[in-house]
Amino acid sequence: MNPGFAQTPWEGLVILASVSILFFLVVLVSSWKRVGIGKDMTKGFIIGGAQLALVSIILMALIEWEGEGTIWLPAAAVMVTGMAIISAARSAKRSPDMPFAFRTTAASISLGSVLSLSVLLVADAIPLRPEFVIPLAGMAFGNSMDICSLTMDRMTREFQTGRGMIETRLSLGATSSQAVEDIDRMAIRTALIPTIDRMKTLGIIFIPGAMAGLIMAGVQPLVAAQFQLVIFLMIVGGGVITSLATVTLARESFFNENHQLQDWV
Amino acid sequence: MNLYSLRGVGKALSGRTVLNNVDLDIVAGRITSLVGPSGSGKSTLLRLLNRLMEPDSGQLTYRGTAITSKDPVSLRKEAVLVPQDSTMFPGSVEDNVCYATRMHGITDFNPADALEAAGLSTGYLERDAERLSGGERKRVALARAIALSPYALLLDEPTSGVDPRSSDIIEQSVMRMRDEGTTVVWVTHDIEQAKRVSDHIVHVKDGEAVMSDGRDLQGGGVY
Repeated sequence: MNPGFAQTPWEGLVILASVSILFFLVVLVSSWKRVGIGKDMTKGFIIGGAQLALVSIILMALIEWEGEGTIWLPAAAVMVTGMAIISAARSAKRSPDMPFAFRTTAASISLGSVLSLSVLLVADAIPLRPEFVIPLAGMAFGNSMDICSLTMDRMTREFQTGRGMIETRLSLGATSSQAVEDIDRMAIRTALIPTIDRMKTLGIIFIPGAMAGLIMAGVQPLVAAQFQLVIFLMIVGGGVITSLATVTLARESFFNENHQLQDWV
Repeated sequence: MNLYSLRGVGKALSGRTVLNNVDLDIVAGRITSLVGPSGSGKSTLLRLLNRLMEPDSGQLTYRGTAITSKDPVSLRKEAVLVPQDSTMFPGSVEDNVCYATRMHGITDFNPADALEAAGLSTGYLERDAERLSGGERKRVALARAIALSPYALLLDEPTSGVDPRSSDIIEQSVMRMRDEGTTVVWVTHDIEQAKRVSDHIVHVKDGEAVMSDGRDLQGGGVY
């Protein structure tokens, strides 16, 4: 029976090549219209494709090792550490002036992602197998990275525009955390709004990737929906933890131990 | 007795020397005015007294001990700074006046008293603080500081941009607080005002502070 999608990498490559016609068409139209994104799109496609290919090759190896006991675990740990470092570095790049930005993003993203992923494992929502752990770790780290970046962005902007308000509060004897309580709340809310909005529109406006993939792989839609909800709970839970950790840890970059604003703010 | 003593205090901001070797005593229970042109270092001096920043050099003592040995949060409750911009917090005037007392768990406090001491009627308590005029904001900011019953009030141009009547009310309120024992450091451009309200005048110019009897100050006017 034809399952409707490629069964081997070679078959997949043929399908990809034929579908790429659409991509090249879009690139052509954008250069014709001088939109100025053709080069970036091509670069993104090549880099993204190469990264996906690399991850797939590693995953294939890990799945193969799975049969030989827990040998895949150290390799998966290295991969997850790589995800943590890259996501933290990308997020820290958004706040180039902030001292210790990498330390903040690395700790926040890792805490949110690892905790939420651990809950899924402990609750037996997913088995401890590379084909589950690695993709879900990717989702957890990717979402936590976005949420961390949004939190840092909002905080930095609020600190720079609201310096007068913060110093007025400090001058009345507020501690640094009391002086920015509302900024913390606003940053967390702002960072989580896109995720919460996506959750609200689940199934109505879009069927998310994991659920769509499971349905296409023949899983019962109801089971696929339940699994998708599990993933969203991981994303939201991890996101909240990441955002909370970001505002707490970033405070050390904005203030010194004497509850004074740092010069760079 | 001196509440603050500065000896050889220096401070640079963004590579520019703002205060240079300042020697100054702030006498307890008196109003000391810091008079000088814009950018002369007056506001920086106030921020040092409130420990919103630290001096780069020299010694700054508060009640006889190094200011750095005092917990900055406790110090700011005792020596409250009222910044020039009178930023209002979101909410009512009452929320603003009670901001610090609620935060510090002070319960035996009536916001109407602080408001009246700053020259505003109790009718203001329910008003939206962010919709007040410049003069009203200045007085609410003063009430917000008075609410803490501080040892010292550090006022950064509390009457700038304020109509003469409001200015007069603020002056009277602050002098009344001085009479009740509060130490006041008052930054102003207005030499006449400094002469009118102060017990001591300090002329701050080019980052240096000189005690003045007022006679050396251009005979009145505004910087």
